[in-house]
Amino acid sequence: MVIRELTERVARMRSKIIDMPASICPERGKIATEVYQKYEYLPMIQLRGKCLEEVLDRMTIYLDDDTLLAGNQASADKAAPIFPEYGIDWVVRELDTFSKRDGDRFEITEEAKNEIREFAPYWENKTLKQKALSMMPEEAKLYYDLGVIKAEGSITSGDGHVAMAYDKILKNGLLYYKKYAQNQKEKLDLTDYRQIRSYHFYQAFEGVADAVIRFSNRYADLAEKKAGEPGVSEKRKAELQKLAQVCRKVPAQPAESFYEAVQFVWMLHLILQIESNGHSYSYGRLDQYLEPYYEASVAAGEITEEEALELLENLCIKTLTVNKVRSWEMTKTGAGMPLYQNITIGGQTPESPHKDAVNSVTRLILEAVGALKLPQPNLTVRYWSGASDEFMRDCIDVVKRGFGMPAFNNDEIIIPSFLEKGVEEYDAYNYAAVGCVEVAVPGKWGYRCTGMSFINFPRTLLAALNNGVEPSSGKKIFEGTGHIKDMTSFDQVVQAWKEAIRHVTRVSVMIDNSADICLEEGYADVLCSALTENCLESGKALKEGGAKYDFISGLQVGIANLADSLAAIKSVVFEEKLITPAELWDALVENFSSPKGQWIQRLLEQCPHKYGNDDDYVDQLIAEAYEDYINEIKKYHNTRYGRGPIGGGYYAGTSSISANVPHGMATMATPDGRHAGEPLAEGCSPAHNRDRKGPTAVFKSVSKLPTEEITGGVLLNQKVNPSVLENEKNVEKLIALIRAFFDTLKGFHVQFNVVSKETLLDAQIHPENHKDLIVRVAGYSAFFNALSKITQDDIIARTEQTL
Amino acid sequence: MKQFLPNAESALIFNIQHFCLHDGPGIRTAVFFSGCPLTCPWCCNPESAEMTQLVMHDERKCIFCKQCAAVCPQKAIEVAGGRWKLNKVSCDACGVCKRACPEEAIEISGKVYTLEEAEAEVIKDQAFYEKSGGGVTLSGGEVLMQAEFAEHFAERLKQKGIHIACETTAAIFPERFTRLVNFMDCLLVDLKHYDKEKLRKICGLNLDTVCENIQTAISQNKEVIGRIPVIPGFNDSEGDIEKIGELGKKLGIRQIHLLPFHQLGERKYECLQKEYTMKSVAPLHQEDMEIYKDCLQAQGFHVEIGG
Repeated sequence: MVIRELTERVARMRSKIIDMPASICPERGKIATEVYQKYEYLPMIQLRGKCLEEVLDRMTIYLDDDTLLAGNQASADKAAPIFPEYGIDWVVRELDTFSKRDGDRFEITEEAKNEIREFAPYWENKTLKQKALSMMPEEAKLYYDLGVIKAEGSITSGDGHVAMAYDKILKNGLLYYKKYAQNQKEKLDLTDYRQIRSYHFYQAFEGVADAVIRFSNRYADLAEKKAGEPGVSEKRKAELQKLAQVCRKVPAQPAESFYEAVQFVWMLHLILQIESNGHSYSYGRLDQYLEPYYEASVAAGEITEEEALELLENLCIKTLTVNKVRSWEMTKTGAGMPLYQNITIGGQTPESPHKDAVNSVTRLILEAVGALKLPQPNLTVRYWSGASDEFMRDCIDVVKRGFGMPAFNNDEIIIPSFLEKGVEEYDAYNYAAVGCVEVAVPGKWGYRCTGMSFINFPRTLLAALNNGVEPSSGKKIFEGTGHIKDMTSFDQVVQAWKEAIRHVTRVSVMIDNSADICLEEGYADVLCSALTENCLESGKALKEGGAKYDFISGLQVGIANLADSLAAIKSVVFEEKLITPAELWDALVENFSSPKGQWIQRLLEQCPHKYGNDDDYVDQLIAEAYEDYINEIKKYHNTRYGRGPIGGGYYAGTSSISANVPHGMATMATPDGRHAGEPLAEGCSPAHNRDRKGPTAVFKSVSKLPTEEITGGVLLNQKVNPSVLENEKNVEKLIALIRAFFDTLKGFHVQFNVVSKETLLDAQIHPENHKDLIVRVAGYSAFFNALSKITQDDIIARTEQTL
Repeated sequence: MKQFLPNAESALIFNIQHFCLHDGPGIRTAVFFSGCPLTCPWCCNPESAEMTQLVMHDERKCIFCKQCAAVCPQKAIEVAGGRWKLNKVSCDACGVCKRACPEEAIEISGKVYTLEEAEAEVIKDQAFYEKSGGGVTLSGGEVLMQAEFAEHFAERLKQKGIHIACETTAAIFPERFTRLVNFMDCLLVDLKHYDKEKLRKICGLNLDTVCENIQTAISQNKEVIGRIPVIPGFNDSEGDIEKIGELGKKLGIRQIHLLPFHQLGERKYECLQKEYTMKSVAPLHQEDMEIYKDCLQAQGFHVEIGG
């Protein structure tokens, strides 16, 4: 595929956004505080609606000189708004360090600091974090405090992790939904207390719908004003007038042209991220729902292909202006300021018989993303067995550009696994990636198809080996089955693991539910709920069970470390008997520091059975251990179970973002020979440098996991040396590799980091020469320079596949 | 060290490498057989010369702690004065030293595989062969040194529908070659030089045998790709390449791969305490090959650089 050079104007916009430093904007926090102070008495959902309304009415808006799209999240591009209602203690604590961080630095002015300090006291004892921590039963709180289960994300921010049904929304326009809500409201039986709740939801949404329209009109006014300013070129004047026209029409009315559709989608996508600071708000199948507008506009002679491309590039650049600030602790878990705003392209049509869905807009999106080379949006290609070689080659042309995109998700495993869970055929075939690798049906799924609590698998194993006592704190966290020192067979280790994971899984559900109760009671998202199917119909917000489907998943961290640990214990301790169980434990506790410990570390490291080498010995062990977790988590429900949605339960997920680094920091030495504090393996990828047999072996090992049960995503990162893809024949071989992994082995996801180790090392020494170097961190890409040293090192250490 | 005796049931193999992209069509697994009668000084797999298991010692990693010497049951290792020495006669490559080494400075090259074991290892990537049009490549060393095993092995893979290629010098055993070729879908045969005398002296091979074998393969309608390792000072003049091309043409070869000389094997020579005579020779690169490529294309060949 020929990727056209950026136009001068888009190139200018790109440089500007790359050079723009991230900053912190207190404006939303200030307005929210005032609204809460004034309307605290309102029913919660109306208060939430009011808050969004006032923010939209009062926040700073601007239009850049070059832009073709209107809408900004905060007072500057890449400025992160503050959401004090979720958590403010850490913001105040870190005010003076935001600009001094090792990675994910945010600039902040003294005035901004003062403003935040002024409104922060109001929130004392009122934030989600405080409420959720006190909601947690004692046992759950213990696990949370020890960090065996981490859930800071769920208790310091909104939910996110959804894609909207933009196909329908574009066709209907927002006023349709407002009218629908009014009709529903009229039908309510208000003697039923539950319906009084619905009444307030409808009431809130009517206000929000109007506010969204007013917000769009503010941009129309601004565009007109700018068009009338002296010195504006005729061309720009016409553009601004056009933009004003578009903003007056959408999102209130249905979109009719390509331009209107793009502006409509951007505006709603943006406002969802002003309503809540959850992340992973995703565009869904952008190529599918934009295509009718594109074809119509081209046919009507309203737009050329180049103009459409430029609009899509505008959309991508706008996407990168959205930002979020996290506490330093949370930042380590998701390094590189990721918002995980995913665009899904390709795949199959939802109507039966299902056909290849690649269309004219698919290529344009691929080209726009490829030409821009930005870390956001996050581009996912839905692969299926009928995907054409030509399309795959186009995708590899973008992969070659070396910024980790597009990632590939596999219809051949995802669709059957949805169908098996009760998702209707049309919906299953219409799924989209949300955030990184996780998947959901746009506009029909509840929050957080993944991204609930994180379970540290290796720490769970260590507690299992230590008779239920968490080794670093000495606290008993469950009734163990005995100590490894007294174990005489590997079966006993397996039993200990089963018992441990049973407890940890149970507690993870307690933590998730505690957070969800608080989110439901205090943090409804009016707009996001109203646009999700069945919410307006049933009169219930998302957290009350309004969505059509509601499955969630947490994340399991350190899969490969658990695999290699089990294999080493089985082989080195119990089969070859090179060391006793007691010697192993003592060596772990002393972090392999004594000469004997060093020798043991070597034995463990040299154990030939390492996950990622297509070795059934270890691959079987991890598949079984993971199944223990899956069988356990399947038993549990979320807070929406039985309240409306199909599902209401859990599945597994491995897209642990960059959490492998902080989780590793808090994990003592492990039986795979890993030293205390070193990062764990990320996603379901093999541990660093342990995969020695090339990519086919990695794919084989990964495919032995019970993938059909891990619908929350099986994240596989592969690093490829750029020289491999210089040769056309090798590109064909890479495509064959992907096809075999997906068609035959039924893998879930794969993404490629095509950047050489030398480049990364050079970027560490000369960051100024690599300002736009982007790397794949986990299921998302980030600017290399934005990452902390330890995360950079972690990425460099991942094995590179060359040959 | 103990000589491995070639047989039908087992083979001495020094590497089975998955995801090979340069040894025939598609994604392949290359099986490297130990043993080679040739003496090419540029060989990048010096561990393949002998049909024995070998201890490879990396002096750059060694900290001369003598732990290997202490545990060696044969007392074959001597560490003194910053030197590590192996008595190759008494060493039986048992691997005890490797396990004792704290620095991973010792490797054992060569492993005996039964037919079943070798098959199980290569069959792992069948999904990838099918999607890419790849398969298994028998390589070496010189696979003809273990031809009996190779035949049985190839026969088993054929039954599974796997594409089989063979990377060979074709320099020995015409009878065995004829039998083995039956099972091959594709042959990658070295065309090192056209000059008989030079080949005999430097590589220790008989060009007549090579020609005879290639003709056998071509007469059986096998796809034969000629591979020219371009070695400075040996065959890197345009005239040399042209004449090699003429020879190839005469034999009926239509495809040529140009393999630029590299020094990636140098470290292995050190690890085997063998002398590497090509040390001072500068490696060649893709761009150096263009001129030869043009020349061979003019002769009507389909030419690829790097295979």
